[in-house]
Amino acid sequence: MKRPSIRLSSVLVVIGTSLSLVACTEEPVDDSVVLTEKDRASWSLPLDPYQRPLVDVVASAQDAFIQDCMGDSGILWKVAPTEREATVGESWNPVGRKLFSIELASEYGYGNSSEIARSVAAQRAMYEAESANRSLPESAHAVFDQCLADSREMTDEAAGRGSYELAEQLAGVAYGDAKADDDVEAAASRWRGCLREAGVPDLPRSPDQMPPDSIAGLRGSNVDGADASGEDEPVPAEEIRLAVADAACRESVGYASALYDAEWQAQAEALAARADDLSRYKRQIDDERARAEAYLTEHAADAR
Amino acid sequence: MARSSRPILSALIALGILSSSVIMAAPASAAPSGCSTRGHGCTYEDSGYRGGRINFYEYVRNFKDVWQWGGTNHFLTNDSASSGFNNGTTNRVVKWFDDANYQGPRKTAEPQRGLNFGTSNDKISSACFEGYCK
Repeated sequence: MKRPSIRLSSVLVVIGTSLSLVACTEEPVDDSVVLTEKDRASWSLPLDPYQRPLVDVVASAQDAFIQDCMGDSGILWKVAPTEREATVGESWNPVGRKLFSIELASEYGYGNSSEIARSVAAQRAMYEAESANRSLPESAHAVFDQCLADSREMTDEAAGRGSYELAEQLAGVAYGDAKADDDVEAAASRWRGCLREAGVPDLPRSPDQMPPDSIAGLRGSNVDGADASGEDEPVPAEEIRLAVADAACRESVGYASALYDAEWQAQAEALAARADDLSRYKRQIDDERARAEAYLTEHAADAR
Repeated sequence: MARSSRPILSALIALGILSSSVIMAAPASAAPSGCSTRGHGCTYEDSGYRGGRINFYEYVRNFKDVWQWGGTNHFLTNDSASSGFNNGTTNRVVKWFDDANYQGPRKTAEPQRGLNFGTSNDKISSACFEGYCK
């Protein structure tokens, strides 16, 4: 099958979308799709603009709406909304892709920072507030459900959800294709040879299957921790040693760069093939975010 | 650059299979069977919220560490989930990941919504409520 041609430049590449590709769109597509700038450190990818961001103004507006709505019914519903100026934690990129590097491995092993950068005290406050919500009576949860539905109506959320859903599906398939790329598979083979020297007895075939049982078992539990201190879980020294060696091998044998290039290419092709749907969804998402911004501005003014 | 072919992606795009049809909304206060506890993210062994369940309040870093599917005698918990539902008590999404430790492709469900995992069917290895991926 002939693939759509893509012109790449060092900064931004604009793909003109062809109306001839439109099959079942509800309205004419007259804008263009912009490829994001390549940046392996943040694992920036072409479908990122269509993915749900970790700092999501729509969720923040809905949280504010729900809190007021619950308060109107006399229910104290605690929430720690993500501020619009919040930054993502260092282990994540803006759309929630987990990053892995020598620096991160030396700090977190195969674990990660919190998704939103918060102080320990703020993280603890969030856990405590949301833990209290779980113990509310069922009648309060029914009110929450209605307030949640009303908040979605406020932002007209239903209109723009298709972007996130489609982008997740496309990204999932692109990732699988990237892992099957010849260059990536060859690099994975070299990675095994490199990391074998670190002494992992159950080394998997590919880095995406890390950590294996021998490393994962170094931590106490991998399911629902009861720890609500807000502090990071101590990372076993042996896990850090192996994670750093792993990250170093991914770099030295060219695995990280091969995977990134293959995933970028696969996502660019997916973006080109579904550009009309994605650009239409993106406009709906942008409209939804504008409504959320307006609500938060109005809400802040009312609170003064 | 040597490249392998991309029959899966190409075929799925051409057939229009990659759409938003995997998302299944549920009416308010109508969590599916096996997911009645408020605050739970619920993972199902089969599509359409059927089969065994693995439910969590915060996270499952590695499904290998879950002994068996609840309500069954099925012990293969990793790479075998097919659907999920978010019965959380906050406005947080639940994310299911193909790889352990919240890596790889993900599928997302908003509060009081669920989905079949589609391209992540029988691949899920970790899950968490956003903000609790630790």
